[in-house]
Amino acid sequence: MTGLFSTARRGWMRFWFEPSAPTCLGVSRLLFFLPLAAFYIPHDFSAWASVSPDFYQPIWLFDRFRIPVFGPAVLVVLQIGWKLSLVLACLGLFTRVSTGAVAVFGTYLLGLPHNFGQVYHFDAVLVLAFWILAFSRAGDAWSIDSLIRAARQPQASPLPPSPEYTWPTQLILTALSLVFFAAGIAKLWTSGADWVLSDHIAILLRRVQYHISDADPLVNWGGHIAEIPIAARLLALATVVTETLYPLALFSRRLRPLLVLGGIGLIVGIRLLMGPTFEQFLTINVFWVPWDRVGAWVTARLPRRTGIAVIFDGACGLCRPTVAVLRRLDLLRRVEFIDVHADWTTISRRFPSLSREACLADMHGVGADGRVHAGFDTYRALSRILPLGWLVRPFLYLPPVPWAGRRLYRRIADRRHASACALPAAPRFRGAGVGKDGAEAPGSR
Amino acid sequence: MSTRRLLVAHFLILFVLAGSAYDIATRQEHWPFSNYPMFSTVHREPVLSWLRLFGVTSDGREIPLLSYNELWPLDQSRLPLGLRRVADEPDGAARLQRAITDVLVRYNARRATGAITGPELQAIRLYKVGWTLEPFAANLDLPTTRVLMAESPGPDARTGRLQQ
Repeated sequence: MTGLFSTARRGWMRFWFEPSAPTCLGVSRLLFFLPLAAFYIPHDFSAWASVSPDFYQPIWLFDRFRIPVFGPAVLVVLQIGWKLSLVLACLGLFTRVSTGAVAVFGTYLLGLPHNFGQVYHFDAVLVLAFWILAFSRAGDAWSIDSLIRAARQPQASPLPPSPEYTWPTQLILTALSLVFFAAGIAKLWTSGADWVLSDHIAILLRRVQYHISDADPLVNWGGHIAEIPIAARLLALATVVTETLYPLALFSRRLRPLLVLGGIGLIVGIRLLMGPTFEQFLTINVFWVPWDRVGAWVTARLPRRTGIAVIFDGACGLCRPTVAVLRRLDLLRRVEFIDVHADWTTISRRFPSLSREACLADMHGVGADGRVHAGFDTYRALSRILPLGWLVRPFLYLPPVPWAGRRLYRRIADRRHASACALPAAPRFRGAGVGKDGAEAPGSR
Repeated sequence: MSTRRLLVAHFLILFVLAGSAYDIATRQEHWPFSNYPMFSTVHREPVLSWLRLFGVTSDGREIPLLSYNELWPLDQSRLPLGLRRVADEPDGAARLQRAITDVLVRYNARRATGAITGPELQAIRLYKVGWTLEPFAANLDLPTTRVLMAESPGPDARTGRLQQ
């Protein structure tokens, strides 16, 4: 008996708390909140305040806790707060607070429509995920918070694997599995084998052609399937099997792709053939993806070459945090960072055209083609190498951004030793570094 | 992982598991937990009975209100099911009339802002409509049965306010 208990305890701890890297949870957080923000930002919840109280049939949560339907002004404020929180949670800025706000505001705003006429099921699991993420450490990776931490503690090593990054993902996936399982069990419990063997699905596919869903089917294929009884029954069988067996995806790596894709197929199929809108529900599937392994797989298949060597002043209190942040952003491992103070011998051997003074005055970058960049133009060259830089790269060429960028860089670089450097300043080297066109530093020749 | 954090995680795990298991086992719904009963009841006969709103235009025509935009923020599923519940309540008739009047006022108000391109409505009528199902809803406009359940009072055309 003790042995059984011990085995069960070990299994429980392994399932929920086996240490994992922060990457998976961080990427999942980002990819979960991104489409949700895009989906809900245009959505206006304030109209619910104007719906007649005669429609009001409170759900358990609102009834039990006497949660009111606020007026339109309050709903506008709440939805602005919620949408802002969604964006911040996606970016991973103030993640603990923003995910908490997403959970609180989201529970109210997503729950509100269910008090009027009918409880829909497309968002319940999202609310559970909001609360799970609110109590998680989802902002430890792939977040602005993690970049800020890296800037504040440049010497700190990356966060090690921890159970903190496992249980939230497992719990969200378990909640999702229970949704499918419940739907499958409800069908079998209510109707038994008749759900599959009768003409139910065919009738259902015909019914939805009469505009009875919250949205109409996207295609009329359901009408065709309804005309072929065996096809309708096979569809019913596939639905019940996928739903009821879905929790096995939590435990079986072999069945996981089949069941997860089957679950996605059900949601897409419902939208296409029957109408009900479950699009947001799909976003939760990002938690199934082992993003750390995907990242390792992609990186391993990329050509092993350095895109750019960045030469920086390792004694500068502003450069070290900058480099720490750049290291985090270098997802493809294409940037080589070289400290002038620690590795000048290497630098002078590999890049004989560079002078130590110029490298201390401005951050330099030497591309694979040997082209030398300095100051703002190093950042512009990095924007080609760093995946996140691709988003801002066109902007960096847009006038007057290059002009303003070089001036700003010059201003900060010239003042940094006075304001930001923790260590004694290297000799100032005004005029060295960035030329007028910024492409190559005259002082580096 | 600290003991405190371990307790927090266990609390959440047990909360989600227990909430889901309770609703599945008791076939109840406590949003955001649910037993997800949608589509679980077998339909054995190819018939459909549904509540449908029709707008009455100034020339007396009746047009079905089907699109989400016309019924917003309610919709073609939420609205009839809500109205059915309202109708089943003790003071159902009066509440039903107020409820569909609410739909009418919002329709005309949104139409005035350009959000709806359909005609101005003088009134709304709620019918219980029945069909014998045909492939691709071929008889959508020819229901087998149609029973008037409620009608809103007409709005004042200039002010948009309801007539008493």
